[in-house]
Amino acid sequence: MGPNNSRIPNTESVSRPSALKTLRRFCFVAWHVSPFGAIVQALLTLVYGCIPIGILWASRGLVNLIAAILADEIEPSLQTAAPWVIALVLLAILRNVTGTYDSYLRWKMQNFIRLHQQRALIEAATHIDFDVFDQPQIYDLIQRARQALDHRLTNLLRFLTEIGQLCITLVGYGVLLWIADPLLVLVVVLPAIPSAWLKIKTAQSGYIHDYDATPVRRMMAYMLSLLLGSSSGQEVRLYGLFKPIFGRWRTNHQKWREESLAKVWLQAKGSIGTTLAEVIAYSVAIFILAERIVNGELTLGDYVVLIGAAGTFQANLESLLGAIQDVFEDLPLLQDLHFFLERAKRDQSQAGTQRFPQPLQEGLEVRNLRFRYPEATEDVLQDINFHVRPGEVISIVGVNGAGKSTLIKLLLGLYQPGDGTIRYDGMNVKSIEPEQIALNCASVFQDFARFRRPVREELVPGPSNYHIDDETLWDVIKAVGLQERFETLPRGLDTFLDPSLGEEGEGAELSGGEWQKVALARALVRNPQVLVLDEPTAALDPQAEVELYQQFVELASGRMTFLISHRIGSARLADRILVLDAGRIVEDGTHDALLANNGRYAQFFRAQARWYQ
Amino acid sequence: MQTLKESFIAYARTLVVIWQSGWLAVLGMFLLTLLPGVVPACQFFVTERLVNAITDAIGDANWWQTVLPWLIGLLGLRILSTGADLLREPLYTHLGENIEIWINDGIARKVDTTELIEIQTAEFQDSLERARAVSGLALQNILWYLVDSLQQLISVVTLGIVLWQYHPLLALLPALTGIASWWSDTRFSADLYGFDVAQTPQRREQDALEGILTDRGAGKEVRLYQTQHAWIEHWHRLGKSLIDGQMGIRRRKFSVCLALDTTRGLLYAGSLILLLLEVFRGELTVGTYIAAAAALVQLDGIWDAVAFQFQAIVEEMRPLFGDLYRFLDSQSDTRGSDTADTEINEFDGNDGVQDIAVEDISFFYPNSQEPALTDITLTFKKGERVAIVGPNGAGKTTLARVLLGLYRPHTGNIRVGEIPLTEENRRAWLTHCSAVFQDFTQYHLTARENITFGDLEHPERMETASIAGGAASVVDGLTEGYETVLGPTFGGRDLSGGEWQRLATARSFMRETPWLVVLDEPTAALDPLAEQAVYERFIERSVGRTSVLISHRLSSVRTCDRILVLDNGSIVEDGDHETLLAKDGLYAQFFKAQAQWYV
Repeated sequence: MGPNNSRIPNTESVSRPSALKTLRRFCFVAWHVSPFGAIVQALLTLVYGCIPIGILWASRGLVNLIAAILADEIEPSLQTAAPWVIALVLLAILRNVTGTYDSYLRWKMQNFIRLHQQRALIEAATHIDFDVFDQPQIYDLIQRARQALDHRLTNLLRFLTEIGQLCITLVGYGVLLWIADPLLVLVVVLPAIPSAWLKIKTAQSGYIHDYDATPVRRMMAYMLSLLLGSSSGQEVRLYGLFKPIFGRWRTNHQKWREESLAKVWLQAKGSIGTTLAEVIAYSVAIFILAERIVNGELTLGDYVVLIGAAGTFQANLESLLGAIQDVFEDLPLLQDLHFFLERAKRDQSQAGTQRFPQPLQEGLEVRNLRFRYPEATEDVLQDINFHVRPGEVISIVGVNGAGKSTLIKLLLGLYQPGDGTIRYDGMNVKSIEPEQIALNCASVFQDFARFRRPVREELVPGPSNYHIDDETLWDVIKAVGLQERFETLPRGLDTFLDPSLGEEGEGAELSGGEWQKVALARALVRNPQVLVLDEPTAALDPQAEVELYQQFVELASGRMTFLISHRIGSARLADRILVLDAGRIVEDGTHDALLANNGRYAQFFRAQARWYQ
Repeated sequence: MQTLKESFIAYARTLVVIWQSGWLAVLGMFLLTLLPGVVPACQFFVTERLVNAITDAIGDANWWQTVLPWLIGLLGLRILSTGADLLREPLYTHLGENIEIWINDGIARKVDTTELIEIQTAEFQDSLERARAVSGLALQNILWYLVDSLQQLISVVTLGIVLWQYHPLLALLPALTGIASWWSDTRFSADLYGFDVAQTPQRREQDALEGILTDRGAGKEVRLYQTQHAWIEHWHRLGKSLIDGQMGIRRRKFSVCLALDTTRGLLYAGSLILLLLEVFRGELTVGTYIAAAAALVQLDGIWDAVAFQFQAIVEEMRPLFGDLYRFLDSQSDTRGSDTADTEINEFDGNDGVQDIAVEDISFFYPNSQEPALTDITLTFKKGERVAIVGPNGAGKTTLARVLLGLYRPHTGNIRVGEIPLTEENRRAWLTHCSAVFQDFTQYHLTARENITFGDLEHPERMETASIAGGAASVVDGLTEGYETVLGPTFGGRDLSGGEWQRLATARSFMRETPWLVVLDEPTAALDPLAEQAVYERFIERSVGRTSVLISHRLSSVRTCDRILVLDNGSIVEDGDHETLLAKDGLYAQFFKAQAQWYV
């Protein structure tokens, strides 16, 4: 159940990119965001990596000079020392300045890379085939990628530059040591190896990169969310669940604490040995060096180089390994993300380009339709055949899970059929441009969206060039009964429909019934040729429900309308009723015909009707 | 803005919290900083002697005798400082975990003791969210910075004293750079924070848009209406303006930093030249020079780190003070404390169900001028089955919550038998009630926990409750029966709305003999046959208890003993189905409106 377990299945033409390809693409993103920034960043990395070596070299020169002066070999004068002093000071300034510039530039690059990647993710999420998007594992991936883009994935840039810079520094140190005495390289590098090995080892045994993703932490977070949620709160109080649930949090926390302490001790114990090895090797190196100096083979300047290089070689190597490890931990998610982006690009390129027939002449023809959700073993819909004339009102009836909502999504082109065709005036819905569908079809879904945008956008979402004048908008608002509510809004049609958005205290909060009306207005405002109402009255009271149905005939007039309602009585308003059962159409006819038929529909109808006799 | 006094209290409180999370460990950590703190100064001394020993021994066959002691000294110092670091790590983890408990315990308790009505306000949720975002990390970081900066202060002071002997300026110049970088850090951090606060609305809007565009539920309509391009552009504009705004501040910071960097370089040059002049005057040995040159570089780095840590403490304190402490201290409407649980439950003395009298109850939602309930007076006779119907927003759910004691009425009383409901006994009263809420909780845990949460003290009742609530047939279909994990959070099996509903009903049946049961409109997502089953099961169970049903579907309430019609927070009709039909009021109107479909 780890964060990286839910792999997306590979599909025909798109597969998961390799690790190398993913990294290359990431670098390409940096290049794309700012070519100048990318080049400068690379140069800074190079310079920053070289500076420590230069500083050691200059220090060596200065120390040798001083040793010579003190041995009375050279006259003491600032002029002879000047080149080394200037080099040292310039290098120090250069190091500080590149460091400052590097962090400034990196902040900028990281933020623009994040913006770019987030945008790519959002675009992909809105373009990938809806049945893929609708899968839990894809949805999960999107949410994980969103979180990761906030922190970790943008740190990748830092890790990558760090790796480059550390590599340069380490190689430089190696060369300096080699020049002094090849034996020193061996003495410094050898003890670093067990420590590096230990680090990798503890990393494998459970150093956790993203600890919030571990089962224990997730359980803790879940328990807290139960205690702190505003709707779970009532049951927590009713059933006295505060102590038991917080107790579970404590139990899990105890588990977590023991695990982390055990890990820290393990690391500490391992480190004792490696630290000793390292320190002893360091001392041996000094000893060797001292011997060479005493024998006149090396100078005191070499001593300075050794202290500088050997003393930090270890730490640098560890940082390098850490950075490499971080990159590898982030890679799988990045690979998934890139796969997802690729797949969305393909889906977008396969979108239709035809115009929606206007006005509809022959109507809708559904032939041999079959549909199965990805990864499912059974068909949700099969053998669906029916024809709807323009302007005809159809009611779809069936128990929960019969496939009603799935059928609607297919008719609107949100899902692609497994087999069979859906044609409007002979034109396959697949080949119609999505924006054309947007202008000609509308739907009030059972779980309609609450966009929480300003009223204008909430009611008229659509392509950038799609506008509705205020007069029409107010007509629709009046028609659904929201006029009074919206007239009092502080910023009129520009008021956010969320109290936490917009200027302080200006956002409006709507009730469930008002939201339902908003959803209805959203569908009506575009004056659609095809209108779908999926449980449009679920949140309305009986009076409002009746009013809506009284309006229904007017709303539906001249449009091809599909109505799904658990209030069976309302099916009578339709010209024709389709009864769905276990993914098949089992009955098709008018209210009277189906009652006479005495089948599934009649059974439903009587179950509800008996209460009103 | 916080006053000086408030800041002082906040800092003191932070220290107290850290101290209380384990004073032994805190003491241990501080002791462990003292030794490594003086290591740099010792290192100076040892390095100086070591180098001098080496130079003096040139050409000497027994050179190692003079060199070796210093070499061992150097080795000892390194072991000391790494060892202290290693030992500090477990102490730090230990304290961090204690701090996490302290924070979460505080937050959870605060929520538990706050009135439900207040928890449900947007303001409370907002401040709760901000308090939670603080997490234990801020406090842990503060501790770490405190310990670290103490160690480094010891280092700079001791090292400074050593360098002072050679020239006072050698100690003072690096200190100047430290102060300068602390000043620039502080200044720009305040600017960035101010910008951040000012941009909160934009950031919220951007987050909300991103949420919608990547949400599964809203996805259908985003696609259907092809609104993504317009919104993505808007999202991008918001994001870009946020970055650009920060860039402006960072650019200014960058130029100041460049000036600082150069100054630091020049100060370093000054120190280096001072040192060289001392060498030329023959005052210093080569060993002293090497040690001092290293110390100069070290001092520069340490001062920089100290400046950063001081700044970081201030930064970490901001959310602590502004969000966490303010949340914990906020004056909220509290409900009866936990003591009621341990004291005698005064309802226990009564045997069985009592009449529930509601007297003159009024109720207001926070920030609302209009009452949600106005002067409600009535008696629920023991064992009566009462339905509450009415338009949206009439106050049906509110009345049920008041009856359960979840909401405290602003005026009026509720009496159970002879006992009035008070602050002290409200919790006890809840243990005699049971309810299936409209927005019942789906516990993403095992099926067993979903049911036993109704009464954890009597897990043996689970089977019975499960059958009665209709959950048994749901569980039969699960691969691991009652141990099956449900819901997507932990990769469990997802259930349909109707199946969750059955688990919630079974949960409410765990209390075997509640005096009051409430069923709040559970049928929004159910088909007619499933809906009927829910009501039938509930009615079957409610024999002998006072029960309250809330529904929009009048068909399901007609068998109740009594029907209350609520409109605008008042009871407008009260009677059984036949009476109310005959009365030809709101109920009759509703009923006929619905019945017309079935004639």
